[in-house]
Amino acid sequence: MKLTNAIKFRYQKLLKASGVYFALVFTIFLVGIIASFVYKKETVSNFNYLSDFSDYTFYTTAILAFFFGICSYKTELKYFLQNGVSRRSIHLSFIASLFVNVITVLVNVALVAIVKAIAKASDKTSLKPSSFLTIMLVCCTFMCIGYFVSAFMYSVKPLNQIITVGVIILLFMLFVLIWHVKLQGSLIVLLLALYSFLFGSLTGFIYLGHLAAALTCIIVLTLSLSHIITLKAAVKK
Amino acid sequence: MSIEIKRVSKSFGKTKALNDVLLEIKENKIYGLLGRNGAGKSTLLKIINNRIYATDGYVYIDGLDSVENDKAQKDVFLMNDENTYPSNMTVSEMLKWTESFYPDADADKGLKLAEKFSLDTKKRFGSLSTGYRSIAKFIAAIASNAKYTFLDEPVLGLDAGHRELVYKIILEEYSDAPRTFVIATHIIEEVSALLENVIIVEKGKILENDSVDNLLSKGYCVSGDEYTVNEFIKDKNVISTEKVGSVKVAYILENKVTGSMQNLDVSALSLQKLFVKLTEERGE
Amino acid sequence: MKKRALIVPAAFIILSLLCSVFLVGWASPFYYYMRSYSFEAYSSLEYEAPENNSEFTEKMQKLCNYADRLYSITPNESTLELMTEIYNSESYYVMYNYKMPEGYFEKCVKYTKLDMEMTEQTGNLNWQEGPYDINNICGVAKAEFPGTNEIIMPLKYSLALYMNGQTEEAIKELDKCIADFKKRDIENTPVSHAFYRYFFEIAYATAVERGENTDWIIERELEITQFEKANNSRLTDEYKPLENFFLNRSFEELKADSYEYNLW
Repeated sequence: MKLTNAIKFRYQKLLKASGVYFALVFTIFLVGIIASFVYKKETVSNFNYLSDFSDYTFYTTAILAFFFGICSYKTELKYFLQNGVSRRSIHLSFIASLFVNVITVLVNVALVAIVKAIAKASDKTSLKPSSFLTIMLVCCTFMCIGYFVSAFMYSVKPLNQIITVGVIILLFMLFVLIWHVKLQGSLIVLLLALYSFLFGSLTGFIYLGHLAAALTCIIVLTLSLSHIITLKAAVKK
Repeated sequence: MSIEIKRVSKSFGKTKALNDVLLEIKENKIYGLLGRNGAGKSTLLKIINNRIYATDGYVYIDGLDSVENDKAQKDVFLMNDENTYPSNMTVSEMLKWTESFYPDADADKGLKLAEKFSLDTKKRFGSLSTGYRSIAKFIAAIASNAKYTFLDEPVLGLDAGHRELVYKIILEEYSDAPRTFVIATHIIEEVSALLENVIIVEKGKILENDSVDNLLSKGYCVSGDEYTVNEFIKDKNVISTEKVGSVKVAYILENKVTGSMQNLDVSALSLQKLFVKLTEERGE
Repeated sequence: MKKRALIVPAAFIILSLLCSVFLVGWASPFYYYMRSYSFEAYSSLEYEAPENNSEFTEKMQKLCNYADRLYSITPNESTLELMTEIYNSESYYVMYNYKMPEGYFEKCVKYTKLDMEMTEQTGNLNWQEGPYDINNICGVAKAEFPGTNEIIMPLKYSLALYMNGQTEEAIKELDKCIADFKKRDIENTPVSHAFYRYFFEIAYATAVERGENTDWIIERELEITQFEKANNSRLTDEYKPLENFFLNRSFEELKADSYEYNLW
């Protein structure tokens, strides 16, 4: 019962925020469509632009998921502890709330489908199930990362935070050094690889096996770390 | 059915906040949990309510382990000064969610109580004053109808009128549908009329755990001129004495002796005085 | 807090870290080389750049090795698509005469053929789905008409055969394509020379490079040109007066063209 209500509480907040976000996206699309009709030219390039632009909303939905994660820890931890919810149930309720990404991505797909239908777009790659399923996974990953960052910042002592962040920065610098010296790579290559790895599904070019495995690893890792942090968490003044 | 606290200890680094506490909180009683600042009252309440973990020992709520147990925690509610409510949540939403989380809760009761306190339930928690935040939390505690309701400084920041109302509501609740209240407070005189039992915590240990009547019957207070009082207390177990002008007051911790109390005024010990004296003495 | 509550999350952490190490070790070199070679290749795409870009060849070789390994472990539609992307005789690297690794064109034949077979089997196109709009008569041929990709795929196969030195088979496949194309309703099929452009450009430049006969190429270029002029009413005024729609250029000229128009 506590778990069910904890889940309900999370969804109430997340769905409200999603509603605001999609109202904004819908308004932008509406303005774009009206403008495209008003300024329509022979080559219908405005509609092509609108169609391409609509795909970018998947990226912003992923960023929204990250912020969902960030905003899902502190308030909920304190409020649920106040209402006698165990830390295990608090954590399980967060895992259940990851399903909100399915809803947000499906709504996003619906909006994009409408725009592409109006624009008579040829490139419907982002509307393929394999495409938007991977985006759902990406959104879940971002949400888990946001949750972990929030848990880490809340529960870990400032000194330990500094040490941990310092170690991560050192490791990153070491990686960049090896990347440059040993592998003669460039940061752009790394970023391109990361981009195509995460969002390659939108262009129809996905390596689903790698992506799904890697993102699942990240989800499991961040959720487990968050779980341990939550088990030791207390209400701070 | 009770809450059993079995050899609970809690350390914060090198500081031992609770030391081997053995206690039983029975159902349908009003307890006062008294102690000096830093005695360990709030720590004990938080451990019972799964806010923090004990370093050692166990807490059982009606036979169920209280730690990380939703089922056990549905019978307890803690109201304290911690900022646990979302600041953008309205009072009515707060009561509605309390009703969801606690099976026996009654949001309508909470709304009626809010009217008594003239609390606007449409106001967001973050916009309430310190006093009204305490009131809102208190209302949630009462509306929860939790079997064991813990109130840690329920009248913090409240004016005299609202403090009276709080005590009145606790009594009304208790008489309408008895449940256990544990009130941790420093304002002993005001709350002493409510209490059935008193638990005194001092430096992480339980000093006293007895009914109010039993505690107060352990001693008495005599006052009169200095010479008469000094004569009287020669062979008595005196907790302490006070001199106010020419009048001397002596606090005696033993059974009343009849007969030799002429020219002396005898009165019952007040709970506050007893508490202060007990904790002062042991503190020395 | 009971210590045993930590067992499950700790186990998951160890498991995910082990999987991550495995994934990074197994998958990431693939991505690194995939992006690295295209970055290197594009960044060195200059007219004055030497033809034999040996650094490119080395990296391409590494990429091909990883790709082959990947496909041998997981042969499916998705990885096959990757293989046809890497082993592509219409790629810029081929067009600008980069030195491709050993056995590259042989594998172009192999994977293009597999791609065609898979399309026949599944009935799906194993790359970006149509329908598309025609953007530009000289641009990449995308069309909203059915059958478009049935023209393009055998052409790719034919080119792959020619690049691999299998000229006879290449000409046979090309003739099959042209015959098939002629059977279609030209009015409802996009203009043909857009499809054939890459084929003839690369084949001609390669023939010149190798010092081979280019007659068979020009013969078929003229065949397409004549066919279109006679049957396609949508042909623009730009093309109507031309004897041959196709520009026969060497690799040097193709590179110069790219440099000037910044094609990519």
